Amino acid sequence: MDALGPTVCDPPYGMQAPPLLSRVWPAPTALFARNSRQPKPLCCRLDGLPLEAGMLARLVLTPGEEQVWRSMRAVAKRRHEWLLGRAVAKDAVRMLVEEHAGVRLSPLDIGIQPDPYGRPQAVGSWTARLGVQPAISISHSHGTAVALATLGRGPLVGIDLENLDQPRESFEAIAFSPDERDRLAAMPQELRQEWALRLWCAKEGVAKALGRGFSAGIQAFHITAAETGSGVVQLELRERALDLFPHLRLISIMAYTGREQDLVYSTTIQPQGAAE
Amino acid sequence: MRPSRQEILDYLLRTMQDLTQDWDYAEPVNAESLLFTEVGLESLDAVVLGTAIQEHYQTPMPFAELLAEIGEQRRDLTIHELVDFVDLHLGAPVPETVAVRRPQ
Repeated sequence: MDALGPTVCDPPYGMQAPPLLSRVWPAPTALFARNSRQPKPLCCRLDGLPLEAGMLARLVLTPGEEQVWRSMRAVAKRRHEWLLGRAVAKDAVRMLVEEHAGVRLSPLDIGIQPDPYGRPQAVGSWTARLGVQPAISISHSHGTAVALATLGRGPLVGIDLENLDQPRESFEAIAFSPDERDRLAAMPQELRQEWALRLWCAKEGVAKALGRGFSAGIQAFHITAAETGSGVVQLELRERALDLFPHLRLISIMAYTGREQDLVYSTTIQPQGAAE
Repeated sequence: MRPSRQEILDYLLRTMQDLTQDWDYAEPVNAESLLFTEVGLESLDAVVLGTAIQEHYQTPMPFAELLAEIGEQRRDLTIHELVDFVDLHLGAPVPETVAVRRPQ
């Protein structure tokens, strides 16, 4: 053990690692996994609390995280989502690191900490020791949590998940610009509800990947194309988002969207330097 | 006729309860409840809520800007503050505490 706590160099490290709680969910990364020039991303999914919440917290949270979770002033729904998000993100990082470096981390070695703008980061002394720095994104919707993770040289990743089964009144007037609403209106009627949610997920996934959320405004993430066959959505930044990311002016950002049963998702993996 | 602040609050509490009624973990909502951490809204829920408010009062309001502002400040919003926001855009005098950024 060093000053930063237990590390991968402390035998019998792997013996202490509890089993993974999440399962790999290939669908959201299917498009990116086919691109051999990029490190393979990984998406994990956890449908509901696998253990009693307090027990899960003790199993997967670092002491600092557990303190944050236990003192969190939030409704139980939010606290459960936070816990579930940490659990699934740590599993995704563990799987990636084991595949890449052959080392089985414990969830207690992986801290999930927000950066100054709230984007989650995986931290721990193992990042320097193993020479890896996973990029992660977390999303949850009504009891299901997902985490997208990848290695490589600083890609920005964003995932968003929404539940189609959840009754939603219209949200299009606020979420979409007139031409985005026209794009939706031109789609076959049977696809409209699903694609309204896909386009929302695409905006939110890109907003998360760039690391500032919707602080520049929802319509600053503008849909320029949506291919119902492939699920690919193209976006470009407008207005205040360009103040934050001027180098992305006229750059098309791709989001891969899909649906599995009632879950709609969007995944974005943006190359290094996109948020400089 | 413009609704009173109490009528706006009553409407928002009813709407919020409708929105969260089938959530497993929903807890009682009051004027000081925080929309995201205490009511448990997701960002899309907030957009749905904003759209419902606009439709109910038949008045466009800059909800996207409000959400952007609280996102930028990384803070939450109480239902009381949301009442201020709705009241403002229904024509009340501008309260100093309402956070609203107009499109530039």
